[in-house]
Amino acid sequence: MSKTLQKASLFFLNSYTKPQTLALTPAPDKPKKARELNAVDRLFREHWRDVCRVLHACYGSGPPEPEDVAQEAFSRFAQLRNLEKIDDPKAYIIKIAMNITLKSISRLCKTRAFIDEHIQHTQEQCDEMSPETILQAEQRIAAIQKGTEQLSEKQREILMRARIKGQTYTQISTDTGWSVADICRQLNAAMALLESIDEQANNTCHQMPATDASSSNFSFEQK
Amino acid sequence: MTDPKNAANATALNSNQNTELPASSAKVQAREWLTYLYSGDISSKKREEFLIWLNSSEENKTAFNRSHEVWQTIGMTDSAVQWIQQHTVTQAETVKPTKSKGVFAKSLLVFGAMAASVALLVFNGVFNTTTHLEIPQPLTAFTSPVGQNRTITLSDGTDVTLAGNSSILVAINQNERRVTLRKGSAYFDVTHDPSRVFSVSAQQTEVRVRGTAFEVKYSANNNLKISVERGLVDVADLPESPDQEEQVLQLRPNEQLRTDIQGRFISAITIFQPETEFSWLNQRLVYDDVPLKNVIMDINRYAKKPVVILDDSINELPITASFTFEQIEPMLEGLAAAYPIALTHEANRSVLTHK
Repeated sequence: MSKTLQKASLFFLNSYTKPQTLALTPAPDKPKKARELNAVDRLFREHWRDVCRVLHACYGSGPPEPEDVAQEAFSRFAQLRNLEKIDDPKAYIIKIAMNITLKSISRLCKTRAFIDEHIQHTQEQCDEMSPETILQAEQRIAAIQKGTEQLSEKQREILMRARIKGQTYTQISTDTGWSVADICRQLNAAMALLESIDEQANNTCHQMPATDASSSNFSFEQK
Repeated sequence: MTDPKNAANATALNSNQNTELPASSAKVQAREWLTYLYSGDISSKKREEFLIWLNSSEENKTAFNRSHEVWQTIGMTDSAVQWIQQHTVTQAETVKPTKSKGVFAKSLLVFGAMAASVALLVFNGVFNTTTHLEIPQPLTAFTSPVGQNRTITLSDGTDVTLAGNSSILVAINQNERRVTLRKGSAYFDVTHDPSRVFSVSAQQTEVRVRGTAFEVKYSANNNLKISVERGLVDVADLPESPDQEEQVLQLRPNEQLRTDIQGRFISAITIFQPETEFSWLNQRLVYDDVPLKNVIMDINRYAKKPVVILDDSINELPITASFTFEQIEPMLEGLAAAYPIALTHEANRSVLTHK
């Protein structure tokens, strides 16, 4: 870049769009899009403060800063399709925000990268999202949800601290007073219960005929 | 304190000799390996043992994959949201101020603390063989507001310029000069001191120098960019555990390197244009074929209202532009005129979408 550019007040050298960016996705139905953006703006005004407060209480002041994460979460939410089919938008935005924060915890990223490097993802994880895989994912979430409701208070607390707050067992031990060995035992017991319920649901799913998945709104990126 | 790998996970961690296990054992072991890997206390040796176990049978692989999928799915349940909201309430209750103690009780506490400190000093003086007393160095935080740079001179004479909405933590003592970049971007003009390394860490990356000028900057996707203007700079990928070796690359003037959140070097060393890269030091932002998402990330350090992109399809749009901090508003209008972008001003933010 020439030095004259540094002194220029304001201009664009190339106002054209490069070939690779010409293949942009077609603009969606405008009235619908406008309605959705209005809805997102309303959600933003109603829940912004709450989402930031939740992130602050769970993950501290950062980095990443709760306000930045919340901003990103609302942006991603706005980009989802069929927003009107999401029952609880605030909960959905919090899930996205939790996911963004956990992805910025270096230790967890390293563990995740190590695991991803060595395990083969199942076909359904590798495939594009289809109605069948979306339905399977929703059924799996429902099964795990049911499982978490059956855990003891202590097991749920440990599981959520490890999985959602991203705490190490030593940190959990410091916060709760429970021993690391006990934390390991409780976590394994909790996972055993969730896995058995997941397996039961999976077996039932394979026995059932395919149902209509058109109402599905699962599009939350878990990776 | 019990080591997690010696406690509940003992079964799994010691079982890799037996490669022909029933499916139920494989499931139990998979679960125990999974909880061990996420325990926050893992060693290279155990990682190797895990890989041997994982690759010893298809059953093990299937069981571990299944266990990991369940672990991932927990984050998508409503229970997770309920817990985090409940946790917020609990946290708020625990930080409520407690009733103040009486003056006498307070005095006793203060006196007790002073007596303990003196005792500690005497104990250290008599029994400790080190040449100096290790006193934890308090960290000093410096932040810059949205909208403007801030220049600070540290106690060793080093000048630091923070880009808008940036933050660092500083600890300087007689042995070391340590800075942590919490967010944003910072340019360092380091005072030469052969006896004390000056280090800047961010995530799992550490930059070490003795006297030089360079910038460390957070960019999109939690990546870091290190750009050297003067002198030599060592960039280290900090190991996760003490038994792993760190990787170090040396950068020379006008050389640049990118690392990811894990500290891995994600680019080769490249040459950059200092007048473009450091233009923000002169209240100007200059871009030559830079993705829109990166431009917006920089703009948000200075814009009065945050700017968000609500269309993935325009994230990578290549932008070439030059403008001062005061020209951000007209620049956004210019973007909307020159590119297939729609700009909408909302009460709390400006939104960019595909036109």
